Amino acid sequence: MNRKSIYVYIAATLAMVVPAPGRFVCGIILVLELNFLMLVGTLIKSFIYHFKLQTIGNVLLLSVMIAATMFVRQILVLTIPLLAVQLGFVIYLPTVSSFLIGYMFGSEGLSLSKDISRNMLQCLFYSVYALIFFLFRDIAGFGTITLLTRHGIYEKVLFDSGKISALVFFATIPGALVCSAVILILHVYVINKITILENLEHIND
Amino acid sequence: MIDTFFYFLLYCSAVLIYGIGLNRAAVLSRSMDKTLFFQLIKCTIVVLCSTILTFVIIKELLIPANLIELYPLIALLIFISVSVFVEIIMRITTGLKTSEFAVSYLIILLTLNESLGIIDSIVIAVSCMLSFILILPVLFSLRRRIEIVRPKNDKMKKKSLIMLTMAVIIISLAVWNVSWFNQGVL
Repeated sequence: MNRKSIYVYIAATLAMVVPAPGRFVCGIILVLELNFLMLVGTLIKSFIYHFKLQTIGNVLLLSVMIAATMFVRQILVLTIPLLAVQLGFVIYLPTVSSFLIGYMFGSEGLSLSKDISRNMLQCLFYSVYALIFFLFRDIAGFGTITLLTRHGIYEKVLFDSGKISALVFFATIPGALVCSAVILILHVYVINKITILENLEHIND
Repeated sequence: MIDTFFYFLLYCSAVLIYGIGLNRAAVLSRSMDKTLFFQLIKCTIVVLCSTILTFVIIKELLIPANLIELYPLIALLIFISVSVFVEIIMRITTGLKTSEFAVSYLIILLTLNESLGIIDSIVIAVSCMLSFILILPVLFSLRRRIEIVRPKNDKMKKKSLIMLTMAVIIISLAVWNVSWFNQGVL
């Protein structure tokens, strides 16, 4: 992971992961939504370029993305209403995040297949990162792992969170911010150590 | 009314609690110049006009037609129209580019979600915008402080320190909430 990508990841985390409830099941929904929006957005962008609709391209793209978000929300309301209520306003955060918009408006002139594979690959990498983040918050904050099942939300209790109540902090927004900051500091530390090692190798050569 | 204003301004700040523009606030706080001033003025005008217009359309058209779930799309179309109009006026009068999307649109959605009447929506929109505006000088002064005290720090360390400070600010704003004393509430 280079410097640019860690910036993108931190920006995306601040935009959509930090404000979300610290439950793994919420993370699954948001990640699925993000991937769906990335796919829809890439297809629409290709459609705009194919039919030369650049003059109304931005408005069309944003309208379709918002419509896709509303579609996701309606599916959620019909299938798992509890989760739709819990997520509420957060469901619109991935749609306007810099991560999604950056990829939508950032790559021009690529073929559809290349564009889809590039965007979906980046989205997949970020999804894994976001899911690990949500999993940590769920386990540390609530002592549970929440999953999606056919009958709704399944909660597997790992330990009594009341016994380690200090960890509840990680389920909150400040806790998520601290987590992001720690990840960033660790990344800087590792990058610096690697740079020192590489410089030493150059000197030895 | 005053309760609603201070609730969305401080206690349940749109930036710190709802997470609207957390990243944008960190980016915009890099410099306090004329562009930022005009950008914030434009944002406030657009948010207020779009909220009022969308609220009227929701009340007069969407609710009678049972199409209330379509409000984010209507809000987007109105927001884009108003934003383009104000942007043109800004560019002609000041010559500055003040385009902004995510924060303004999310504030409009939050306002429409939380308001009960048109006055309520105006109060919430103003307090949400003010909560975003208020955090910028705080983050800017923090950046300057970090730059003066630790000039060798790179961008990433600065960003992580800013995130830690944001966490401290949120905790200090939410300190009145003592519900976490009761085990089982969370």
